[in-house]
Amino acid sequence: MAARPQESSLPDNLQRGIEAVSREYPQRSIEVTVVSGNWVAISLGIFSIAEYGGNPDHDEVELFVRVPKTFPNGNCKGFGACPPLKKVLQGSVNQNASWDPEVQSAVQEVRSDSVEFYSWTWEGVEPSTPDDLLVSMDLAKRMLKEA
Amino acid sequence: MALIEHLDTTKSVSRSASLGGDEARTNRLVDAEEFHVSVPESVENKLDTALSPNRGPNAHKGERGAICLISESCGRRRITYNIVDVLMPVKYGEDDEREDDVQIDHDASFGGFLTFNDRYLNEARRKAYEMDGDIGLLIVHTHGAGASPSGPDNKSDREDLYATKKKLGDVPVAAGIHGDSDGAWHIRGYEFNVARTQAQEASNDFGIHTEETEEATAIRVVGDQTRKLMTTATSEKMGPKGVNGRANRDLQNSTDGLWGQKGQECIAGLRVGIVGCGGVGGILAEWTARLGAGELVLVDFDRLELANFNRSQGATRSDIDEKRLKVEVAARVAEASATADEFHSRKVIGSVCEADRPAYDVLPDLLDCDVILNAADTHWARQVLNDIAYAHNLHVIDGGTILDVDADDVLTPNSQSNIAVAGPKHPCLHCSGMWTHTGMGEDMTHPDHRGYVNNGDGQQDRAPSVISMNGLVASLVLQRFQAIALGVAPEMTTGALRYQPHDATLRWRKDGLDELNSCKADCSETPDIGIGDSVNLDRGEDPELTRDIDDGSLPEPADLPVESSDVTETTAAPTDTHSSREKSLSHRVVDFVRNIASGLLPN
Repeated sequence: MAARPQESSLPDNLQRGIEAVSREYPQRSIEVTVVSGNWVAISLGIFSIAEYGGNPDHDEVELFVRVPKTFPNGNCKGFGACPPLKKVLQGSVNQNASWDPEVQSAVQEVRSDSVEFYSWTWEGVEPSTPDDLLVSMDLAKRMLKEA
Repeated sequence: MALIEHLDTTKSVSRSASLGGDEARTNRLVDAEEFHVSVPESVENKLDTALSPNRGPNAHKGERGAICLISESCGRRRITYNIVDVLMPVKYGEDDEREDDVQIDHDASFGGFLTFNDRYLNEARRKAYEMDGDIGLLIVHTHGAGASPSGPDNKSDREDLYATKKKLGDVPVAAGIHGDSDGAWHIRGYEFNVARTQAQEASNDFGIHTEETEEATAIRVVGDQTRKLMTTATSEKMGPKGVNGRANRDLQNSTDGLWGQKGQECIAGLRVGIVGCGGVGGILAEWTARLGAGELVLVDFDRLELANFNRSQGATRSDIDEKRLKVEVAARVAEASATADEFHSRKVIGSVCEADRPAYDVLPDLLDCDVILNAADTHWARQVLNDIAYAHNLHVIDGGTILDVDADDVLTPNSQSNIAVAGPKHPCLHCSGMWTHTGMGEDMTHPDHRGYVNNGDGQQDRAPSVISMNGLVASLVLQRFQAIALGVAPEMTTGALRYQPHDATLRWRKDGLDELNSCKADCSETPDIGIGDSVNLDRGEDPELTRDIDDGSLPEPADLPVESSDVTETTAAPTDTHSSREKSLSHRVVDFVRNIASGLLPN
């Protein structure tokens, strides 16, 4: 399968990581949404809010992971949501929102909808191989549950 | 054999394309100003065994030979062929009918001469093909007397190497001879217009007869130390293009009792890269020039400002007023301080992290260097330089300081200066604690959007820095440079050194209870050693550079003369030895202007 235009311009390691996630989650549409400077936002697909007990205003949310083009080197930090997440109890926008506004606005432009990025980290996980991008899916789900 | 015939020659992209479109970079051997060979010490030892008359697979043969896998590092002016590995030839027992890999053939006019059999050549080509990147072959053998190639050598080398290029694509190929009697090396790289289509086969512009060769003028051996070996093409005192340079004895008599004239000429034969020309780098520029380096390649894109003045070596108030580029000031200071007779400095505006904007890509300039000193205090720069060190067989000596005070303004144990060395046979800069993934990620993010605590007015707090600590770091970096280049302090070459000013302790960093003499067991941070331009460096768009470009404060590199225009005058009166040295026109113009300024000539 030919790589998507933006994907083909990315370093080999990151392309391999994206392929690994796509292979592991064939039902999801894993795609590079934007490349902004040294950072890449990858869509992890659509998630059912009810399944994860989150945002009361929407049924579904698209989640993004923000990784450096140099993946697995560099610091992986940041996940995004479209539409933005709201805390269930307070009904308020999460703290640490609008993190890395450059990537956020780039994704927003592509999606033509409200997008927010959060400084959700890969705490305890130090990726060292392209396949370690698989971890992003679990981290994204955890953010939906706990954020 | 069948597999080799079907190797996919499209795997190897053309070298000009693999260079990211940077046309200013040298990518054709015969057009390069310099051609060197590099080899990690461990691989040199293996080659030594292969070519030994007393041990190894060629023992007791009159001539010995071996095939090496090589990669290429394309600098701005220098091309280096890196020996990645040696493929040991097989010698079968006397009762075995199979043919040894290394054969002595006979020729009516020359007598016996060495050849490699097809099995060995094809095995080498297969290994080269299976490695990632553009890997080619260097075929070497010994000669009893001297290292000059004979007629049959030239013929068989040319045929073997043309066939290699035809099978593997546009990969580096070379042939070498090692003289038994004098230990001399002769290494020549080959270029061909390889015929790949029927039309090209029929054309006179393609084929084995289009051969062009270039002889290497130095071999850099990289292990605990950096050693440059002469070849048959090396002239005495040709500077960094060769092995040694012209050292002015009158200016260096204080080091006579340390490493002597020979050591001083060795330093004068080194081109040293200095990355970052700020607090530490500015000092290194002056001290390295004063120590006697033959050439400096100075890298930075930043300008001086008032807040830098208290630690900018040699900077004047007018430099601040004019917001001069740090490389300009560093070059001026270095040239005024240089003790090597034919010193040059090269000013390079850009960043080691930058790959997206070729005009600011400094990698080609760094690949012209023999050793790199890093004073750029970012995790990302260190990560990139670390990979350069291993992939291109270059020592990178890295130094930096973190200062931290408590509520009473007393230095805490977190304050530290770290000095480490990266490159073959050394622990990587990640294992040495010089960079982290978190820090690298911060450096890759736009300065306005980093996780740093701002000082309330939207500006980041400037990291504390003081010239006293910068001087200490520069001193330790330079002492390690001396240890690596001259072997004067073997204990100073390997490991990570830490100075903590709060209790004035200097210690080697540990890996558990042991000294950190190699990478930690779980290290995965270094690329394959010596793979040259095939390495995937984790570079991109340096956001600090972006800010300066957006501010309009950065000139196009073309707007700044990048190299000192001529031989820099030494600071003492010329001796008899040098009085006859011709000065070029531009040098005389500089003298003329200086004389006018000092009132020696009528204005």
